[in-house]
Amino acid sequence: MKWISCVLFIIVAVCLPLSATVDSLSTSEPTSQADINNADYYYNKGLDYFAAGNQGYANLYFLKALNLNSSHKYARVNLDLAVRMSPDSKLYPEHLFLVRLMFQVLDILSVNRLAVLSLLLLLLTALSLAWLLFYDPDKERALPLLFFVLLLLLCIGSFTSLGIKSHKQRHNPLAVLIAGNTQLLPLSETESKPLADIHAGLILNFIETKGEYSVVRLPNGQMGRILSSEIVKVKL
Amino acid sequence: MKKALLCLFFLPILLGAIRVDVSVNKYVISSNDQLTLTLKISDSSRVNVSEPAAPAVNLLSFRNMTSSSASSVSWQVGGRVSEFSHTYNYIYFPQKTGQTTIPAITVTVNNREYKTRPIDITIIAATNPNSNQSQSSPAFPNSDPYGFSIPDYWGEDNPSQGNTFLTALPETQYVYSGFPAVVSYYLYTDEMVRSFNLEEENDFEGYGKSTYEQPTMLNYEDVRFNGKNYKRALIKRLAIMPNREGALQAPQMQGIARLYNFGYLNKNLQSKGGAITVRPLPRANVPAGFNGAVGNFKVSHSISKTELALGEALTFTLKIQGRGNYNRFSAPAFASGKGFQVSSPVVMDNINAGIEGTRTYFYTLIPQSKGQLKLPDLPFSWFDNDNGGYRIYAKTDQTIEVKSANVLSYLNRIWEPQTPRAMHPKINKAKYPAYVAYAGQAWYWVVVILILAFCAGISIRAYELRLKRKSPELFAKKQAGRILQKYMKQATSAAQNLSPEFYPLAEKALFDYLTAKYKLGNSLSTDEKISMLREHNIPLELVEEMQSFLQQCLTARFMPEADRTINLQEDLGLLQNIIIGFSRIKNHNQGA
Repeated sequence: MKWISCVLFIIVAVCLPLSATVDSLSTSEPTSQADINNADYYYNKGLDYFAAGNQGYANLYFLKALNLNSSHKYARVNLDLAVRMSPDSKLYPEHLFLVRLMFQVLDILSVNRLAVLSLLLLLLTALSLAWLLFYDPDKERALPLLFFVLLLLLCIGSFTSLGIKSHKQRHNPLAVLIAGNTQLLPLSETESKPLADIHAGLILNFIETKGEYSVVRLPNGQMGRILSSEIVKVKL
Repeated sequence: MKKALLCLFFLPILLGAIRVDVSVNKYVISSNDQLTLTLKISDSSRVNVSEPAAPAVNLLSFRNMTSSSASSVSWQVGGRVSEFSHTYNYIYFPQKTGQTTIPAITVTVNNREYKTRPIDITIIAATNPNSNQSQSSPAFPNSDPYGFSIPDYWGEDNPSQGNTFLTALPETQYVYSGFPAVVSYYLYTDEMVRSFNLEEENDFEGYGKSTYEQPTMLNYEDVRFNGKNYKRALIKRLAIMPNREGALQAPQMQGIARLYNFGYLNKNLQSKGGAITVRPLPRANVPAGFNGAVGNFKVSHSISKTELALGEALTFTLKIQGRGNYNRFSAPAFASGKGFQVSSPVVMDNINAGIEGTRTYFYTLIPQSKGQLKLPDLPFSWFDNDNGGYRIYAKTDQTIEVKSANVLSYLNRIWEPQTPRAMHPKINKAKYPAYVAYAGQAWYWVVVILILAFCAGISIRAYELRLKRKSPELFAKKQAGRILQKYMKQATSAAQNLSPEFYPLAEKALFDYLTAKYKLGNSLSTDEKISMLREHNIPLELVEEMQSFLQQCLTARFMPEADRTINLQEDLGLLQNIIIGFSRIKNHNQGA
């Protein structure tokens, strides 16, 4: 009876703060009434914008889809194609094969997949721990120990990745240039000579807001400022 | 003093006034040298200058003129100072030795006339006549494109009676409705036309237009026109897209030709010609799926692969090359074929003026089932302007082999980052459920905590087993402590409080413990219980010790209350020893 009451107490103690967190997140990030927070929905919306010739919003919605589900293959392929066809395609760095492979693997592991994988690894780690602890003391314990250590490392890595990806999902720093053709201005307000001509659809890294300008970083690493009204962040 | 102050007061105004300066590179030149006359007009604000004509100078032959404009901003004590200037350089070659004067030049700046000062020049004989003008580099790469000689005299009337005109020449007189007609505008001349400024294009009804070609300089070619020899240069080439049938008039060009004839002479020109007749498309034999494409096209297609796994995509590329009305027809659509999901195509144009070049459509096809699938039809038909008939693009039947999906098909983007070259199609769903992050759900963390609790439980259990194996004494003590905690709590508490209730509580606790451990029936008497315990191979000393303790409890029941508490602590110690003794014994029911 005591055990049952203990388990119930733990469940209640854990559930209450977590449900409170979920509620507070949903109220602090109101979504547009027209938008549904669904990767496929965002993907389809991106396609509609692309068909209408609106490169900026097309890329934005593909990125929104990928923010929810980084393994959304269609959104990734369409975004890659849109980027390749854009006039700013040369601003995007060409990655080496192994780097591309790493990104691809990270993309496959979306936040939810990572969550399930982490849970599975935790369960396997627990079972391997049981195997190790109740292993015949007269026998060599190297094999269960190896299993346990490997699974534990994988489990820790998986939970760490889950934490990082979840944080990035909630605080996605990417933004998309929606204005047609514009110029990247230098960070110093006394200088007015533009640094580069950039076009709608360019994916930027948002750094901070300074007055009516936003400090952004281009895909090639160049930093500058741009009117805040000309960009839209992936995660509002 | 007052004048000086007045001067100081007006100094900024004087400084800000329009300045017209004239200068020469040399006042004394040799007959094989060249003279550069520089005219500079400057002001603190932008000036509107009419280009001054080169002055006619006796003994000097005008060769060339260049002009430039500049602006600068500098910071001085009084603040920002801007300067805008126009500079004209006139180059002259000496004709004879002697004294001459460059006359005053009249310049119109901001609708006001300014005059420069005359400059005296002395021309002396060259020391090395063979090097005559060899060092000069005229501003025009070919200052004499006709091979005509430059006249070496000034002041006479224009001796030229030449002919210069602008004409519009359509490539073909007749086109079918929708087919773009190309009209070339040529400047014909038998004079020295140095430049041509296109001023205006007058449009007429019934067409759309775009610039097909516009040279940046006059490239002359020799032609014969109406029995006369001319030089002609292309001014502009327009693509005319008729949007009605019948007679059309191509746009009329207007411009100014700058003729050289002992100075420059401007001549206004207006193009003539440019009539086009637009024929209607035949109404007979119009193929199904004709969507208005008119042109002289070559159509071809290719597919990225003929074998693929389920889940992979293939790219179908349709290429249309040639001249035609690319802006008037849309992408052909695949017939609703079985087995493939087809995307809307991505269009890549490499088309000049919207009429000539290559248009490529990229379609992404995703197979929906395994097996040998036939590509659906892609009907495309157009009207061929040259043949005067409709044509249909016939795609050969192509079969695609679709295999089962595999894990590697997921990683296709790594091996082939540049493919496919078309957008994937929409994902049609009846409902779009809102995204739920599992890691933000309560159930997820409950499962995590349960697994962690399981880990903690098995760790404790494993520790106990290890302790029992490695140090049985310590384990027995701990076990006894637990048992005492569990069964003897009340009895221990009574002993510590010197309560006479200790003995009944201790007796009850001892039997509870033994009943739980050896499954003794509650209905048995004390003697029966003891005899049953003997059957469990319990050491005799322990049984006797227990019997002695039970006897002590029985005795204590009938003792006066004050006497009962005398040996309480001793009896508690005895009880603990009994429990420790029992806890060391393995229970038969629990196995070995």
